Amino acid sequence: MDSLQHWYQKYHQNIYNYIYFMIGDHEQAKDLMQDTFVRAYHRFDSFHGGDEKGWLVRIARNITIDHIRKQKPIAFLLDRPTTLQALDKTPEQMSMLNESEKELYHALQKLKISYREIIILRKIKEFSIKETSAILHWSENKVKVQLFRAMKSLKKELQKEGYIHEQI
Amino acid sequence: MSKFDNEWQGLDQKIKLSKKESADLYDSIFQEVQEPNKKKSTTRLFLKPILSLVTVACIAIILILSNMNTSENKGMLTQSSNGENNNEITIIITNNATFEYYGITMNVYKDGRKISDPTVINADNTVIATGEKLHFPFIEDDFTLEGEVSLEATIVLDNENRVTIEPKIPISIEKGNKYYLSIEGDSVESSQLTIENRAE
Repeated sequence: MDSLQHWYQKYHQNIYNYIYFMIGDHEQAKDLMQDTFVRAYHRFDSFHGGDEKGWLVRIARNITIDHIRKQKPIAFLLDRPTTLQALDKTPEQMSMLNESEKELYHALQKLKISYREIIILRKIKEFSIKETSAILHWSENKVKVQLFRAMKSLKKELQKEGYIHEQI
Repeated sequence: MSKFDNEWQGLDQKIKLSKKESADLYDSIFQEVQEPNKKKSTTRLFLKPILSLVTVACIAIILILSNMNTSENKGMLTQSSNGENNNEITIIITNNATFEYYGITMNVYKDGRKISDPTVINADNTVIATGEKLHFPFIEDDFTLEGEVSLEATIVLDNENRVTIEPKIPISIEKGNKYYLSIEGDSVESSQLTIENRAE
């Protein structure tokens, strides 16, 4: 129980934040974050030490992917973008984002799920290539290739919206 | 540092739960993980040995009954040691069907509850070729890789249509093993999920 409390204090914002960027729904992200810590508690035996944040994100990812698969099976199956959520399902803090952050967020939501995920992990959550490869069960090379493609696709979305930045 | 790096950081730092939401969620999590313990502590002491005996008897009856129904299938199930990784199991389905489809969802049930349902399709969205093997690896994060589970296959015909093949196949799983099954049939209506005969 002490570990749970310690991990919650240390990582819950990270886990919530990851899930929120994946699904774009504040209330559901809260529910899935709760499920993540409950599952982590029950599965503590399968944690063999080491990267606890990566382990928690892996659990959050499994729960989030299951959720997306249930909510939008075809989009998931064909790795298509999931539709944006209504504005009332965003956290209050969305209003604190500046214009360019909002543009970036909306462009991110328009990407297909696998591209969105790699950008969240590498760019927003700043996991290393090695850590990302462990979370996604991909080779390090695949992480690099997918990130390159994802960033290209993001740039295209930003251009489409008339917001172009050269240093993506 | 480029402007975009600041924006990624901005997204990371500004999208957060409020203090109240964080505290409320922690209380909910704490309650949820404490729930079984609370129930346990309310059981009266003198009832515990009786309840334990009844529980053991029920489990024994369930095991005997489930063996009666499934021993034939389990006896035929082909399994082999998974030399690559002893911390996972792999279910391998060979496509021996003659009709076209695009993928399979492998539904895994434990105690009547669906615990996992991964889908495999070709990355280029082509049909699954005859003789093609679809691999479904499972790790401890998915579910506990020991004990009795039931497998059910759902055929993905296209974006809109899926057909689940009945009946479920009960198997006993153990970490480090591979389990071989096969999809057979001339049409999705007559398709069957069967245990593959394989000597390994």
